[in-house]
Amino acid sequence: MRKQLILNPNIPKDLMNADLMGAERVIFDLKTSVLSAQKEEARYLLKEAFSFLPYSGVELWIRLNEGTQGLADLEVLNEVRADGFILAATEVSEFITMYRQLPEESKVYIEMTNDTSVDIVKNLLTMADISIVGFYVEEADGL
Amino acid sequence: MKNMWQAEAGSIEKGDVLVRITRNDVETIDVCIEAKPVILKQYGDQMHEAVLKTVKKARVTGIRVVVQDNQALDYVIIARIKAALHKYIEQEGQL
Repeated sequence: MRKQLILNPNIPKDLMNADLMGAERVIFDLKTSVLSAQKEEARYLLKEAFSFLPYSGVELWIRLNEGTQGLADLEVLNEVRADGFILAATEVSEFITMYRQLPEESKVYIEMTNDTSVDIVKNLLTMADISIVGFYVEEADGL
Repeated sequence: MKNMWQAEAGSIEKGDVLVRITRNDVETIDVCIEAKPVILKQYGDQMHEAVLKTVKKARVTGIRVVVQDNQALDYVIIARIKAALHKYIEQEGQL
């Protein structure tokens, strides 16, 4: 069983120790772990952490926000080389807009958010330029 | 009491830094670093330079930047400055 850790990317101490906590995968969660008023700060901190800290031996994913906050995430993080990005399947056009702003060759995981997510995913999978690696589902008691 | 700071980012937690920016009367960049004396003596100039370089890169003048350090690494200081500047510019744009 793989061990993964979800961290708040607005806490410097956690960012610094992300690869030392014994997890095989770390998810920097901009969506639910960060307060609305602190999202801008978290984006910049995450961006600088990726360019400054020599992470090794761990997969690093970023869970992006939905809607305008998600687009704001990508304005700051569009050059960050994470191992994976988690994008919510809330609406086809919104997903495509965000997908096209990701760094080239990013691995994308779709977050299933509600009952319509399956239909959205089916729609996305018919598009030749959309490549999805896997799915992400959050349960009430964790992953 | 009205908050005189127009933008702030970060915290006073260990390993973090609290950056506060307010408008200055003159078109200069005024930087003030608050830290333990031993830290200021050893890293004060380096921190001052990092702050000034980040602010100049954003092409913002006429501000006072106060940095309250609690043993933050360089990348944290730079990230918090950028975030505070972003907030400051957004607020100035709304005036």
